[in-house]
Amino acid sequence: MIKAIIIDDEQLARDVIRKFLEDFDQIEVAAECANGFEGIKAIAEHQPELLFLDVQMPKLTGFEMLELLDPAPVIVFSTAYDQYAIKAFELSAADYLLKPYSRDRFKEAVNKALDKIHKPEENKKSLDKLQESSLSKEKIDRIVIRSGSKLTIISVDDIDYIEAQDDYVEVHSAGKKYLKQMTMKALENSLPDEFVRVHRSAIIHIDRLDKIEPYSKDSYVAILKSGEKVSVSRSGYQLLKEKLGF
Amino acid sequence: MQHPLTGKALLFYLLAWAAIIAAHANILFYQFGFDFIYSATDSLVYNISFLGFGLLYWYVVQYITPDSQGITATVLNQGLAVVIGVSFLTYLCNSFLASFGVDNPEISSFLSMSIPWRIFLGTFFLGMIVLVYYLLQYTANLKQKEKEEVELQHLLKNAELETLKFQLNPHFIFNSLNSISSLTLTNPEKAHEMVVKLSEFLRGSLGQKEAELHSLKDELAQMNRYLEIERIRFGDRLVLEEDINEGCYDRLVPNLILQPLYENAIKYGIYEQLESVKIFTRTHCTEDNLTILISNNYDSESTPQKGKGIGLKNVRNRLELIYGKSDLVTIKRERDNFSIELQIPQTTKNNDD
Repeated sequence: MIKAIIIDDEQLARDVIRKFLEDFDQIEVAAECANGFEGIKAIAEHQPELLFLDVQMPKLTGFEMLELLDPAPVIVFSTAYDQYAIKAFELSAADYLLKPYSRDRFKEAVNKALDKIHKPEENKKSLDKLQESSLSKEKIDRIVIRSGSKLTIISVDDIDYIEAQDDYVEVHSAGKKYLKQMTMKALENSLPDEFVRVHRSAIIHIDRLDKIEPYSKDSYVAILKSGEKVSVSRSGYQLLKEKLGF
Repeated sequence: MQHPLTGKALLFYLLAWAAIIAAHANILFYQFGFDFIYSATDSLVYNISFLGFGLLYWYVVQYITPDSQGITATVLNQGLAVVIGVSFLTYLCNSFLASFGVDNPEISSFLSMSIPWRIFLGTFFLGMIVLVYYLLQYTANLKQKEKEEVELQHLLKNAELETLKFQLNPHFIFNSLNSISSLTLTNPEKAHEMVVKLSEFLRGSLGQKEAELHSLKDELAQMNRYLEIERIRFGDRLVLEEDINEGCYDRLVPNLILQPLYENAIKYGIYEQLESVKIFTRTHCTEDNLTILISNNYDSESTPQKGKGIGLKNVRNRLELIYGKSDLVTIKRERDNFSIELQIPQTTKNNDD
């Protein structure tokens, strides 16, 4: 028996999926969730192989949810927006259903998903790229961080600076630090223009910069409004120079 | 408005005065036989005072306008102001020039004899200047009005486009159709009901002619169709409350002006919180004003995905262009309640014209 979970914030949208799934004897619906938080909990509890996931949901979008899942189940997205399709396939979604969809189209999607479930190695391989690519293409508004069972959502406006910590990034916001597993490179590309990579291991929010002081012959130190200090390399200094025009 | 006499216009103004100064001095020198120094001084003192006064007078023109006082009052006020100003200036100039006449009785008698002429000429010059100022002001106003008219047309077009875009808005239309497809499987009766509601709503929106205003009753009826569809979609998560004064039903509002407000309430209420959202509508009216308040609870802790903020800006712009006031929209963001209040003036355009 294959366990599936349906995550969509509209009851009627979940009803269609449940109804159409009646055609598949080998799939059982382990849970229905109305938002990403419930979804994360239910996935931890049931360990489903298959996920039906809406994109636009309160607090936590389908994509943000996916970032937090490791390993992620096979996913079929369903949404009314066609502009998310490319991203969904980048995330190696099994299929992407545009609401409303026919029973046949749904069957096709589930069959693709079943194929993926039966070839787990292939799925795993593409999933490794998942976190990286999920944030690489478009600018983000917020960052979702999971520590244990606790989820924190930080608006990029509230970030002071970000430091590299081995395989993690450490996000500093309002005097607090949060660890997230991702690379500086991926994060750098997806942050809006107010962020500048001032050093191999640091990205700062330019609005939080108070002053820049020389540190040694070839390096500088950025002093943030909060008083925190971030080292700036020579190339980082050049970038700041361009950005701020001094 | 900026002072119109700058650059080329100022040069022209100065040249005209230079000609007057030359003519004035010549007349005194040749016709009246005064010596050169006196003729030049008289002309310069007198005319340069008026040149300066004419420049400064622009600021008076700014405050006494036919728009604010009516034409008769403006003519009377300006006429009085010009005569008093000219008399005062003439008095000052004559007092100054009198020093030349202390031991020259010819100059003294000329000065006292010429007062009516000086007042007459000064009034004539200043009158011309004032006339030119009003003409310039009128043309500038006309241009401004034309610009506003064009902008209003543009915004109207945009509003229509926005409406059209809204009708084809994927997150509304397609989600609604998905709800219907779901209901056909589980509750055909309700599916039927939703198809009817959606059709009514689409017809209502598509049917909007270019007529800019319609009654509050029509506006609310159209909004109700929209909200009922959303209520079928979101079920218990959307709660509607209202306090509508039926006495206000015949008041006029710009059509679909409330649409972005409800869309916003749903977007930031429902899309960003897990609890249900309550949208509250209240209308209140007086003889010449209609107040519409729409508020919703929201989760202040949430980190909303950024909207483009176009909806509320459009509402503000549209009201400003239709009613010519910039303070008709009030937004209040409290801890867990968001409210927006519109003031819709009820003086019809026809009365103004």
